[in-house]
Amino acid sequence: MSSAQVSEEEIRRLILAYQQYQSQAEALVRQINLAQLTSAGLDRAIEAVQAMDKAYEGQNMLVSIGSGSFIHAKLASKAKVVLNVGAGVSIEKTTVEASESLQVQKSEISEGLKKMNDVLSKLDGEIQKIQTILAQYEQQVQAKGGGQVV
Amino acid sequence: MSGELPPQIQNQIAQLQQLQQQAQAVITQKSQIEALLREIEVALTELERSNEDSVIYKSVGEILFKTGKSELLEELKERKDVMELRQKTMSKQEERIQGRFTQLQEQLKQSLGQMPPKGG
Repeated sequence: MSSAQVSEEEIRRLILAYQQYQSQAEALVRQINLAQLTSAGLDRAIEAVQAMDKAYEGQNMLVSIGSGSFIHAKLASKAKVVLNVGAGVSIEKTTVEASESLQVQKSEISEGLKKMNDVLSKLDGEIQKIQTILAQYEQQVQAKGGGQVV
Repeated sequence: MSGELPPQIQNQIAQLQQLQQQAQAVITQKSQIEALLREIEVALTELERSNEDSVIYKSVGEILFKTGKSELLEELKERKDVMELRQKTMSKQEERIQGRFTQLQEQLKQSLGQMPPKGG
């Protein structure tokens, strides 16, 4: 689309679309950040479950209580892990089951992240297209002695 | 710009903006409810899939309490029913606001159409 043919009404429509795409992109970035945090949490859980292989029952441990603080503990069972399945429910599973379940969740999150990144790229493309048209239109308006478009 | 518009039209625009805010609030609440519903459904599926002798915990604040599978299944199903009811209420509210919005939008279009031409 050439800016020379763009009517004022079309420019108004483009500005509206630009604002909509921008707010969609911002919401998507927030979701991507959340998904990345979840993914990092899953990585830590998977690593901890895998570490059970080398651990032994009765081994001294430090358990995180938040804010970088720890309490002393002894490993009571290396065969069982309690997994949160959401809605305030946690189920005790074997380390193998827990590892599989966490890997599945991790794959789902990775898949979701990929889809969200694809959508974000498309939105970015649309935003850039509109920006180019608006910039050209703004130059034309300024050349005619008008004001700012956005 | 709105200073040049007749009070009736200004009023209609204000009402439209208010309705838009209400619609946004309802949509946000509805999506929160839908997220909770999805979470409950996932937990229900996991619970149903677990063995009868599986050890299950329910979180209350930061504490996990050991609990029975059937007891927790019942509790989750009740929570699901409540959430579904809230979801329906929100959908009806959304429809009502959308209907009112369309109606008001039409009225505004008519009012704008009846305005005398600028500079006339």
